[in-house]
Amino acid sequence: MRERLGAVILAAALWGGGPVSAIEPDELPEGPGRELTFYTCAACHSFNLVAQQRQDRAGWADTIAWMVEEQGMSEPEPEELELILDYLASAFGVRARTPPTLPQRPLLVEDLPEEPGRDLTFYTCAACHSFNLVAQQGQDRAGWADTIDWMVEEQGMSEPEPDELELLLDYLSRWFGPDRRFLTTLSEPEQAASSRP
Amino acid sequence: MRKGKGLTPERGLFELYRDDPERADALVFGRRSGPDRRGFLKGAGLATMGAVLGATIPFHRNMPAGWIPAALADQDQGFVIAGKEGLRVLNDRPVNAETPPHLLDDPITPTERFFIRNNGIPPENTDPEGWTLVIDGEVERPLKLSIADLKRNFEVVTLALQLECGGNGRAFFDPPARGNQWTYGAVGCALWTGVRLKDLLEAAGVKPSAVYTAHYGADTDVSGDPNKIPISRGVPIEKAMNPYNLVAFAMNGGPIHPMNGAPLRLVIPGWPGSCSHKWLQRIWIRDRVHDGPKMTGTSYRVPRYPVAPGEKVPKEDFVIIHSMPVKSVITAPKTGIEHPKDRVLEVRGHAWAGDNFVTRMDISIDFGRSWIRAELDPPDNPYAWQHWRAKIRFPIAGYYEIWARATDDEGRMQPFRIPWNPKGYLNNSMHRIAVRVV
Repeated sequence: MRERLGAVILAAALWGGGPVSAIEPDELPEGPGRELTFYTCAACHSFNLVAQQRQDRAGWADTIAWMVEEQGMSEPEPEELELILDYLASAFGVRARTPPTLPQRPLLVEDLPEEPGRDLTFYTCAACHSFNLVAQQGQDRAGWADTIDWMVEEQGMSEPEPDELELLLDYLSRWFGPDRRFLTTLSEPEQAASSRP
Repeated sequence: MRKGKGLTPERGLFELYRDDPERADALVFGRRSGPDRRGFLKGAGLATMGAVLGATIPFHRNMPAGWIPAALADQDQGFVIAGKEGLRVLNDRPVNAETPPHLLDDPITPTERFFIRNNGIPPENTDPEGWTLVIDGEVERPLKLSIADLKRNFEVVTLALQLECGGNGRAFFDPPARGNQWTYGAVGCALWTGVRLKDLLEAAGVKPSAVYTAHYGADTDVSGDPNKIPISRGVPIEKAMNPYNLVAFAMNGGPIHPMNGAPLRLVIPGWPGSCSHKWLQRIWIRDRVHDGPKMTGTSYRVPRYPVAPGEKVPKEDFVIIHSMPVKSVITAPKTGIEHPKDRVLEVRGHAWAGDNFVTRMDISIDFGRSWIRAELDPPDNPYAWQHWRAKIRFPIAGYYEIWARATDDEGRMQPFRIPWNPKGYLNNSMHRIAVRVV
């Protein structure tokens, strides 16, 4: 989905002012508020403008406030605004901070988001090493598949059953993907290291 | 630390109580103390604390404000590594921890601030008494030596030697590379005392067939499998014969820290830290490139040509890392400080360059548009990091970044951006810190 969207934007950039196909709502990342967000934005301008942006929730709130105050946008109802901000921050948000801020204590299974695959993932990984090692990573699904292959082939990990593997990969790529989403669920931890200027 | 977001998973009891004990009382237990800072005002929080403790508190009137009940204090699960201080823990099994840059300010890194990079579980018994080192393989006379034998039969030397993990700086890779997400502090320069590896190899008589060393230690695999070796790396025999490699039995004039390889370790400076085997028991001289765990595949290897960020690289195109690249760190001031405009700011730190020397150090306060030459000391001995300093005046109040750039004796400089590689090694891009001038 992201790839296709990227291709549309890239094509738009390459073709300059030439004819380009506008983004359709079903091309956007899935999630609650997708249609509401699309039609709210596209009422006045192309959604392609939105899809180029990367703002966190506060940044999107500022942007909408500016459009209401100075650009004649009609003010969304509070519950609509919440839904729009949630969607924008998730689909067109900023990537997790680099480097990651890390919890300074051992992670427990209860610390992980309660979704299918949580216990399997935690106990499969923590059988051999601290889950804190997992929590730092930012691999996509293919990267996690490689990592598990490597551990099975070279590190003596017992091979997961195919259905377990799918569940593991789903959970790992969802929470420990390149956006390091799991770490963003924790509030600012105490961090001895100054992570960046 | 003072964001005050309450008791969240990574904000433990101790941290809350350290920041603001009375506020912690209120947050955790809903407790408010009386005007004498004792007891529970109108009983606020008493029931909660009692419920958590599983008992009533008979002398609650006397209980000081901001007091962590001992029963809970004992359950604190924050990371503590005996004999280490101020480290940022990346992982506790195996233990991996780095030093924040401002705690690397000492010319010689104190033992309690020296980073920890473990691949396996350290041995429980690190008693020097009874410890032996075997040197065998492609040698004329295999040796089996106690630590007392080393001290008695070989010249004992003390050198300042820097060690850096091959993955230091991995946290900044985009797309991310897997492994421990080191930022700046998987590096240190300690005083190591021991005997020269070269002297041991010459005593054993290295055969012309010798190609590579293979290092084995007493650590065990994280999986618990006693037959599995967590890591066994080595170096080409030419590097092994360098006179600055030590088999060390002391660190900073005292015992080696158990997490840093007590009672005996290799120190092969300038190359990835993993060449400097800890808890050393055996050096096997091989007639081929060593193929132990973490020598093969893509471990401690980089593509032999430059690649695009995120590019897939075939395994056969990876080569073993030899010397680490030129690099520096700013150890003072700490990033994020405020500095008065009318005062001169001394910026300082260390620089190192693998097998090479650092010959020039430059600082920028204007995002790299112009550079100020820093004063650079020669190393205490080859392979010691080099200290540098510069005095800075700021023209106007505002936000500044101080960038530091080292140049080695072959004219190679630290880059602006990470030379990306799939496993996240050799990030020697410039360190930068923030200073707000007021």
